[in-house]
Amino acid sequence: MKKFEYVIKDELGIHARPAGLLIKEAKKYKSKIVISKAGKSAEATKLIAVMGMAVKCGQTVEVEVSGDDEEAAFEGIRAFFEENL
Amino acid sequence: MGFFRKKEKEELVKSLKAFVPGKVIAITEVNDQVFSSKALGNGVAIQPTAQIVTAPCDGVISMVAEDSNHAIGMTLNNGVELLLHIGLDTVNLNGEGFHVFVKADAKVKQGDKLMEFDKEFIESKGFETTCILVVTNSDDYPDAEYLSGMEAVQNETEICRF
Repeated sequence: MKKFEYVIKDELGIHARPAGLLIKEAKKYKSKIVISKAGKSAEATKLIAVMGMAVKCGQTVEVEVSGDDEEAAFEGIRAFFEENL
Repeated sequence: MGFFRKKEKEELVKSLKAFVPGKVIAITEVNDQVFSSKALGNGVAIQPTAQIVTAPCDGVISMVAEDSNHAIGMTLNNGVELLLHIGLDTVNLNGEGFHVFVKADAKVKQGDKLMEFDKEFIESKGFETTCILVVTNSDDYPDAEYLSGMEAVQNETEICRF
């Protein structure tokens, strides 16, 4: 299992558009990817759950990656956050 | 009357009705790539001619977009997850022009009012009011049919069949 923390820079937080792109990225990997914020968490492949977390700009999320391809998934998802959020 | 046991079996949702009235278009025709590419899932969209959004079927509200109020999630008894997204890029309005009548975890019936939006206001701010319905787990329902091309009557016209 690998994890990282990320502070959201997108002004609008994780809304439909970035959430949709995140889901697409997360589905590339076999690993389970879980995003959490202050007690709430969601699997990165579930759009409504991710949007339901209502992550706002300036908030910190923790992203946990676990599974066979966790190295690649960790790098891919971290790069995704840095580029898109 | 001990033997008279009432056994009510809930029927699975088989179809979705128009959640706003107006012209139904294929999701691929929506003027926003995140929807038209089906990145969020398959679905249909309606060019609304009125401003009240109703539940396309029975279900449970799974999410209401916090603050922005422009999107609602629903979970159906057949496992389908829906996203109703009102307008394009309307997250930018931070909730102005949207009034939601339901909260997460609420049970709703087909036709229940979910939300009202101010079409004129939203358009005056430069946003399209296309109302999009996405089956966010559409990969799990490959046989679902999405119907478009007709003028839909709210709560009557079928827009999707499972």
